[in-house]
Amino acid sequence: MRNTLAMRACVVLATAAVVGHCLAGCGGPPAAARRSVEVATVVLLEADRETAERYAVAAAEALDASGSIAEYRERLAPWDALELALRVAQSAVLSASAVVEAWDAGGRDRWAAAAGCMVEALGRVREGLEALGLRVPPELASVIDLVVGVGAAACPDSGGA
Amino acid sequence: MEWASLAFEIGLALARAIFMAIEKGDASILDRPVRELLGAPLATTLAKRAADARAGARFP
Repeated sequence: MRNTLAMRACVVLATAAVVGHCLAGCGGPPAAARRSVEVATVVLLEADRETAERYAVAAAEALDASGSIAEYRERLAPWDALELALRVAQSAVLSASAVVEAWDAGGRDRWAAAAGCMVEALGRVREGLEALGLRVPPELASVIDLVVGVGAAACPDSGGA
Repeated sequence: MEWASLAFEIGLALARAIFMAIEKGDASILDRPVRELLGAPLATTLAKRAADARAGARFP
């Protein structure tokens, strides 16, 4: 009876330990890396949703007020800069996500650079929003700090984070 | 009977571990993978394309 109880306790504890270890990482990416990509995704989609509506309004106003395509482009320049920043951030977050998903297949070595690019791209989005006087989601600053905290290095595509 | 009891206890331990992981924030906050959520063009990009088309029609 005592042996049976001991065996049961060992099996239960071992199972719980293995499951707990796997849920905490199991050789995969650190939770902070995965979470930073997830938060960046949420923040980016939020910023995009708010920007899209205002872009359409600004474009319609610019079209009414412009006498040439050059004038129209000039009026919309800050909005186009923000659209580009959002698109670059979209690409950077997708790349960082792919790195996290392939953590054990080389992603671990590429994380610092991917995180650096994500930080830089999100920083550009923040600048674009601020330049237009739009609301900057408070989570944007938080996620930039979070990504820096989990090992962001310089983005190799730009020469600096 | 013993093994049924053991399986129940393991199931309970699994449930506890999963609950703790979620409570600690290990579960994803997204309802779909990132590549699905960000795989399509952004709403702002679509707005720009539509605006560009209107501007192109106005200033051919």
